[in-house]
Amino acid sequence: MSGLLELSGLTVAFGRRGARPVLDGVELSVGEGEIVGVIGETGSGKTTLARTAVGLVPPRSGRVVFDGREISGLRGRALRAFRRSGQLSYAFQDPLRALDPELTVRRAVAEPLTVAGDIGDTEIAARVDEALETVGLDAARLGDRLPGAISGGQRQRVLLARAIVTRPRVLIADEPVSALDASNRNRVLRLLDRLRAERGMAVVVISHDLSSLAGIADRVAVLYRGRVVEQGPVREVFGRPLHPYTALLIASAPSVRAEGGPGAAALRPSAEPPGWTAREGCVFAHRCPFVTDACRTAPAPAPVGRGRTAACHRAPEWRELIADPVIAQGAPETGLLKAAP
Amino acid sequence: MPHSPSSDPAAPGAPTDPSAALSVEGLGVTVSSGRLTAVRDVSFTVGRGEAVGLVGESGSGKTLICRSVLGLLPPGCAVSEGEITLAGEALTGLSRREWDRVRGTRVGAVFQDPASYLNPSLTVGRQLTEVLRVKLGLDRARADARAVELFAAVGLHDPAEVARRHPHELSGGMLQRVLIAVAVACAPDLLVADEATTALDVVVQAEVLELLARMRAEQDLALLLVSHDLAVIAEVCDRVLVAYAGELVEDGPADRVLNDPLHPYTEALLRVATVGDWERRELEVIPGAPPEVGARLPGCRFADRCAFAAPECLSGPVPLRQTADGRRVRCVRGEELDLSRAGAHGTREVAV
Amino acid sequence: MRTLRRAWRPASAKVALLVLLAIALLAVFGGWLAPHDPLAQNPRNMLRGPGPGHLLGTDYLGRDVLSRLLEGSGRSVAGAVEAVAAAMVVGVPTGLASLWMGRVGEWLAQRAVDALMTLPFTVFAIAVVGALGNGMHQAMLALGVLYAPLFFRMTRAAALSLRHAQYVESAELFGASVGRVLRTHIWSKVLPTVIVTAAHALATCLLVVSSLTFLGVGVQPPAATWGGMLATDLGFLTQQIWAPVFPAALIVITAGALNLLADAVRDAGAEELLPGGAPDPATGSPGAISDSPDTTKERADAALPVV
Repeated sequence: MSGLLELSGLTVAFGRRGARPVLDGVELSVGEGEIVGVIGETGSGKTTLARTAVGLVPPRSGRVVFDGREISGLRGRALRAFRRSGQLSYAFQDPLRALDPELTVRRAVAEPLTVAGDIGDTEIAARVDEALETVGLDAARLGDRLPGAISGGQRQRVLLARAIVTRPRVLIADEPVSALDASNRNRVLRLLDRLRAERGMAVVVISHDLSSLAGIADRVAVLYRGRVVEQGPVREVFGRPLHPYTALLIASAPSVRAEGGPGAAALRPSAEPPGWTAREGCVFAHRCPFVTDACRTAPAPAPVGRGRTAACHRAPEWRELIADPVIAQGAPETGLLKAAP
Repeated sequence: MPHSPSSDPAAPGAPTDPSAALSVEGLGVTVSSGRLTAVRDVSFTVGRGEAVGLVGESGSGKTLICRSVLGLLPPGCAVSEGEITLAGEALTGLSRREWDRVRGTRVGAVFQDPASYLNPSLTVGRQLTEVLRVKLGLDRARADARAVELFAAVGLHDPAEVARRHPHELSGGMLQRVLIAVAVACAPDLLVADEATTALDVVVQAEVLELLARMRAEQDLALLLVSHDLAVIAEVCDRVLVAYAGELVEDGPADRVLNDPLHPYTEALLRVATVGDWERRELEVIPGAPPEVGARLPGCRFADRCAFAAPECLSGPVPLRQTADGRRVRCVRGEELDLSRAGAHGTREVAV
Repeated sequence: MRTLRRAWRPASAKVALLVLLAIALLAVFGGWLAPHDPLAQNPRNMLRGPGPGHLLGTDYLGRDVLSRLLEGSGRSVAGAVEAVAAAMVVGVPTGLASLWMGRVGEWLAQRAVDALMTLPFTVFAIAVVGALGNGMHQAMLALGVLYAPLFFRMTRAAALSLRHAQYVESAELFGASVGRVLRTHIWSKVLPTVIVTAAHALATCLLVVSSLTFLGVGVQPPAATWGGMLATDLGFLTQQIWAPVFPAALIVITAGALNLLADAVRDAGAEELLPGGAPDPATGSPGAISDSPDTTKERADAALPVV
């Protein structure tokens, strides 16, 4: 496959050698105009993945290729030139920390353009107003405020405006909506969807929360302890997960509607995990109810159908095990609603 | 609007029930040292062993309501009117010392950030035994034994080992379980959980919600679950209270409210909530923004965002009225609207 | 920058500024204002208290104290400013640069500073004067070098947390150069710290000048400085209790004004660290933020067109 942004064999480790890597052989490809979700819990390495992709963290091994050009090896002048081109942009997770408290909204959004310095001040001002308008902020009213004087939702959108002001081809957004309530979340997701449709911009949405991908994502990669355990079209992965962790995530997500599929309790181990799971084997083995001795060798992501991979030795058959009524009954009274329609 | 407790006969855990774990009557809360009224005319009850969810977006007043019940209003905020009764005992006007007795023994609480409610330099076991010794007068050995039992009851693996750990050695989900153990240590009548699972990972959140549901069933504990996330409330609660701009706008059994909302705001919340489908689709939003805290509005506070607003909505304050089947709704149009079907197109027209 | 603007607000800062302005005027025009020749000795009129002929009395050689104070103010202030300026020129840029030197460079810079701090002050001053010749400027330069580590440390400490701030990282992601990052994101936030340090250093330098004079280094008698007058007059405390009071008072007033100003800057900086800047009396406490927050601001969210 040849996407616009390609991460291959990306491994990142901090501290001494031999420590468990934060990212381990991550493969991810993002095509033009595609929205890809990266889902993972705290400590799964999802933020490190984003920071490595944009070059804030050097990988121990593996490559980051942007439009056919390896960017993980760029240094000095070449790196700066690539960054100033603004083709790959990153929206940090916490807008309060990612915006300089002493820079007005307008100056903050203009920063990538003033740094690049290839267009004049009037054009910069026009581009800034356009970016603010795109994210739905009133430039005339908010442009001269400081980040401390606007609401959290507005700050989040200022951050997005800054990330798109260079008209990037790929935007990596770290938890862009997790701090927002449902209505504002949907507003931002619609904005990302529109940017993709209008400009062909590719978007990587990094999140711990499945609802951040609702309705807009094309593909999703599920990250667990530094490994991509499952990847594929969002409808297939979430509709019929092949990895027990993905299944657990989906079963655990609260919902206002009753849903099919196994209950979360059936996907948690009932017995203590074998001792080896702490040291070796599949990263999910210690929390997996379907663990066997085969899992002692870490499974590699194996292709399952078109554009889909899963890293599980028991990928086809674990589903049969929860169909077993004895285990299925273990599902507790999760929500009295589940019986409803 | 004076709201008489006896006007609520059909609602579960109605105020007439003397054994109600919590009853709130005409509660008003002011902020900014009394200048602004952030919460007005809030009345509800939580029956013994009942799980009630309080949902609303930020600024809806849900946190102020729940803090009033706990006597933990931040400085500058005060209960200006109304009564709060916890299992027959009036809580309004208690002294600080009396509040200290009530909290922990009669009502327990769990909040969003468990780490900030624990002392980082003491083991979590010590912090639980302290509660047991001070509040229940247990001696050291019995408190230690009880602490381990409680830790086991909240589903912590190897409870004796966990008791010896310091807060920084435990994950967020484990800390929340520890706090739940502390909150239920003295067998309170009511457990208040204010955004208790918001900061947790999805998988851990589901486990903690299951735990809350189980504690409630096993200990006959009444539960007041406050969240901005309707889905979290849907998982656990029997009854849902919907707060908007400092007022309750809807109250009813969870399955009814979620499947057949009476108030357009509830319907809008349901529309923007995620449902378990991953098809590409146009996402819905609620147009506009909630009114400012303390804003004086002539009529319905949701009118300017409502797809069904009519002239009569603005003519005067809208009372929270009782429907034939015992639900309550603060909408002048109420049952005449068919929200279950209108939602699909009615409000979207406004949104686009 | 915002910190500095906020620092002017308290009344104490305004008083301190007025005092410093007066002292600056004294430093420039003090010599002309002197009623007597500051060097004229009068053996028959020694160690007098304040009186009609000599408003502030006379010293142990019968010289007019007021005239000497006025005439010496320029020298004293200029000396202290010179020393602090030298310290800043050496300490501040290196302190900032140390953050971009890499691990080895940082280590070397830190050890160099440690070495400088262990040098005994008087020995170093005498050595510098020995090498460069005796004189006011040489002595002040020596003083400046010895104060440079203070500025290095303070600047570095203030900039250290900013170095890895997300907005600095993000500027680097836009391809911003080190100089640009320093100018836009770091300098204005380090400046208050530098000013506070400079105010304290100026106050101590005024006093240190006297101990140098005492050693015969720097300003040479009979030229007057506040510190020098204080040092010699203290020796005649038993004969004339008034003599050391006036130079001491001037030093204390100057140092006090500088400290007041430094405090105002520091307090304004601390306010900055509070979430959302200065606490707004109109909204409740931080505890209320979770629920009844800045809805005035939230309202603006309504401006978002539905996309």
